[in-house]
Amino acid sequence: MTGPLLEVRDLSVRFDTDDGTVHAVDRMSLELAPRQVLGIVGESGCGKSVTALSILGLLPKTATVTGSARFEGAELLGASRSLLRRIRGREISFVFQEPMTSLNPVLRIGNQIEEVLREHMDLSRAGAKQRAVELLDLVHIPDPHRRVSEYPHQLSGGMRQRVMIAMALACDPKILIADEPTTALDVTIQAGILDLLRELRERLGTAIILITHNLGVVADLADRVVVMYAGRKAEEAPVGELFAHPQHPYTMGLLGAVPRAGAAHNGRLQEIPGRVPSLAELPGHCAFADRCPRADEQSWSEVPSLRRVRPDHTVACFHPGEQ
Amino acid sequence: MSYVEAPTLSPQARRRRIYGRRFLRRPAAVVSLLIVVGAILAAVFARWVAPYSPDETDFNAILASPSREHLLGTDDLGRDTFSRIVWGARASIQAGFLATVLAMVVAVPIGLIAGYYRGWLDTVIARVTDVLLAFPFLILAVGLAAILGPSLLNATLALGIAAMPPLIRIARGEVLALREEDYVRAAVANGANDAVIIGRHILPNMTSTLLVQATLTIPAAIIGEAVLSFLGLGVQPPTPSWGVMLNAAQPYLNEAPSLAVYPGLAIVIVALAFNLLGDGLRDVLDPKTER
Repeated sequence: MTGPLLEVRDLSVRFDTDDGTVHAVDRMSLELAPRQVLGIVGESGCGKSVTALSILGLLPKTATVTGSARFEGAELLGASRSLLRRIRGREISFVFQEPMTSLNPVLRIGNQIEEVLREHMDLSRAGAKQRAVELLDLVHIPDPHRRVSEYPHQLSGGMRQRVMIAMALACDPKILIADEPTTALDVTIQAGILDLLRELRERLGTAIILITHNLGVVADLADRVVVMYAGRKAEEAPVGELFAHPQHPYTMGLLGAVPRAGAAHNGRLQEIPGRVPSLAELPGHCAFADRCPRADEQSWSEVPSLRRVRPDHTVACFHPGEQ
Repeated sequence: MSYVEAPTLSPQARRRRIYGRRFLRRPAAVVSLLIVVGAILAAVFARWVAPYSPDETDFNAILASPSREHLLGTDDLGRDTFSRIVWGARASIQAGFLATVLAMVVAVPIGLIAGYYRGWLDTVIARVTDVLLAFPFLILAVGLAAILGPSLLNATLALGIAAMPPLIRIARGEVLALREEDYVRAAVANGANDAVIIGRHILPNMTSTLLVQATLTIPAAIIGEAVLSFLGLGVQPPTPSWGVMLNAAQPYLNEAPSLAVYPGLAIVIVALAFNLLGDGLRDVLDPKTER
């Protein structure tokens, strides 16, 4: 019927720094369907956030982005500043990790929401104000009429993240990119924010890209999961499939490192030996080889390409399979 | 949290009350505010505050000591010193405020643009500012005033221009720091244009820094006006100004040192009051202040 809302093909991002070139993302491909929640999982520095930022041209000038990212068929990479400004916040919006610092401390939260509205929509001052109150109500901030004229420092972290989400949803975007939306929050507050995201997806039909290192969050919310390792896609599958039948040894390692009550490994979490490789140079072999129990000569001499192990499940490994 | 204590007040009113309470807890700031307001009122209403016209001569009381008729005595032409100090406040306050406003209006946008857009323009602006900063404020003001010619307006212009380089540098430095803030990144991600980012997100977050800088610039300009007038580059006699009075007092330093002491005290007290007021305002407006 309809094509994907967002289609990313062979996205690569390089940073030219004084210490040489860093390859943050290497030939990454993604598809996001309307109403879908796509989880992107990986360790810190694996390129999750850079992937998301590059789609909207939000990376610093030192970044070189190649490949293609199409939103409803329109190419975003290399698009004009004015086109990107129309897309940002209007069609695709962002929620960042740090709610404590992502709101301007000298502006009332209502004004900050109104600003987004007035940037993108033809609304009167009174109309924008009215809509700001509705949005605060939508994200379940109690007493929105009073809260709308408060300053960020009067709100808790969870409240601020709700305000950030309200801002992101202000113009009814088609895609919400949430970059570690709960990482900086208490566990109980995290659950509230996740419930909110789920509810908003149901009510507004917003597609969500959820970037996190927390598999629990992904299991809770996502429809599909992409596992990233060292700038490359390691595995992609529907969420149930991935958790039930992980194919990539890295995915298994991640799952083994999640604490589970009553699990049978004597309370000791399994860790993945070794550490994430430096991205200064892309290895000509499987990036996970030095940490992988299954690595063999082929792993050390070629880069594994993605292969389809089930109709909806791809993995970049020479030796996929459970255990 | 603060919202439980006074539920009937709007947030704005509560905030104003907190600022008021904090300010009253700082005696130096309160006294300074009274002095500053007093000086401004005296300057504006000099006609009614001063007992004599600044040019009125009393030949029966030349170089007189303080008395009931002449509160601070008289000068070599029998002019009332107190009246001349009151009238002289006009030149000082006017130069102090106008020079500061001029410097702000020109320097802050330059610093904002340089810091926000970077590039070659920023390099040029930053280097020129560095060169100008190599000249001390007063030297620069004296040089400019000498070029522009002696008058209060030209002295104000010279002081305003001389006050720009540090303001440009401060504004630029603030922008460089603020543009990396998460809320600026968030605004960019929400599609805000440059005008909104500069005007709504960056400028308001540097107002307290600019306010403090203004309260340092005003007294510097007041002193600068006195220096320029003293050197004959500002207000011209017989128009009263604290600098002009100091200059006129020179030949009589032995016989009537009070002729130099009173205008000197006026300069010190008013300049100090502006500085202390600025200190107090900074503490009060700082959201991290606890008391």
